[in-house]
Amino acid sequence: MKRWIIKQVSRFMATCRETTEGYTNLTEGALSDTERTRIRRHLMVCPACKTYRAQMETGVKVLHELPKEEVTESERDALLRRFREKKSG
Amino acid sequence: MPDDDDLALAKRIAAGDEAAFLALLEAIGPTLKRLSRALVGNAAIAEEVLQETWTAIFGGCGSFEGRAGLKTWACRILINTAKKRTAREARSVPMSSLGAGDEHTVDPARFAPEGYWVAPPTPFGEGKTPEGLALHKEVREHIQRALQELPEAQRTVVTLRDVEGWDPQEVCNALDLTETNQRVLLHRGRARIRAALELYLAGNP
Repeated sequence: MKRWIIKQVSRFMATCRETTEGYTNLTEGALSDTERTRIRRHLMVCPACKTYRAQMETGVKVLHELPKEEVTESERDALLRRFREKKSG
Repeated sequence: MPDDDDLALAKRIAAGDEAAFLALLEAIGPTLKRLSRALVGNAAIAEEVLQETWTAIFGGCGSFEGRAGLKTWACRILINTAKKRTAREARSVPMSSLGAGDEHTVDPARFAPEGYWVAPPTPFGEGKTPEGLALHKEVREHIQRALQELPEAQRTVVTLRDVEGWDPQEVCNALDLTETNQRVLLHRGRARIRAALELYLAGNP
């Protein structure tokens, strides 16, 4: 009976494992209509997978906001010197 | 992205135009520097790779054909230079290889056989928002370390997509990846970053 119910449910929506595996395909728009709908339905009702999603999003957000290393003045000058040398050499 | 502006800029640089060179440096200098650090763990070697790349750019601008944008072209040079270096230092995996085919997004032991969580991720603690966490210095450092520890191909894709903000097509072009493989690498990399974040949150409720 339990197995039967799970089978019926999984026709309608993705499992937690499928949701976690397919998450980037979902955000990258790489899923078929059926698969997208299955995962979206799952995410509407599963608090654990909502947490998973929030953590994925947070990770990307943190990466996006990592301090950016810039080219320093002295690096810029050194490269310009090399550029000039090459021109004259 | 190939455009006439890039072609014109490359021609001017090849002709020794300093203003053109400075424009290029401003446009792609920071990206090359960061990418070099992302591709090569060792700071000193990363610097050498970066300098070698600039030498190749100086020498190559004259034969730049504009098939890809200048940024993509320059990043390809950097990536190839880095690959040559890391191949010398250690066993290197071709970018196109995805590594183990059975790499899981989440430890399979955390799911019941039917595919539902038995060990779900712990929700964010009280008052912790994604925005707040992204600003937290310790979280940033933790994520930065996790990024450094990603396998090379994942680290490159995640750096370009999520740190540098490239779009998928640019990444595929620069790394010679199919769209599918780009997505797989992105997903695996992001999944490891998430796991690191989860670990951090569990230790710092």
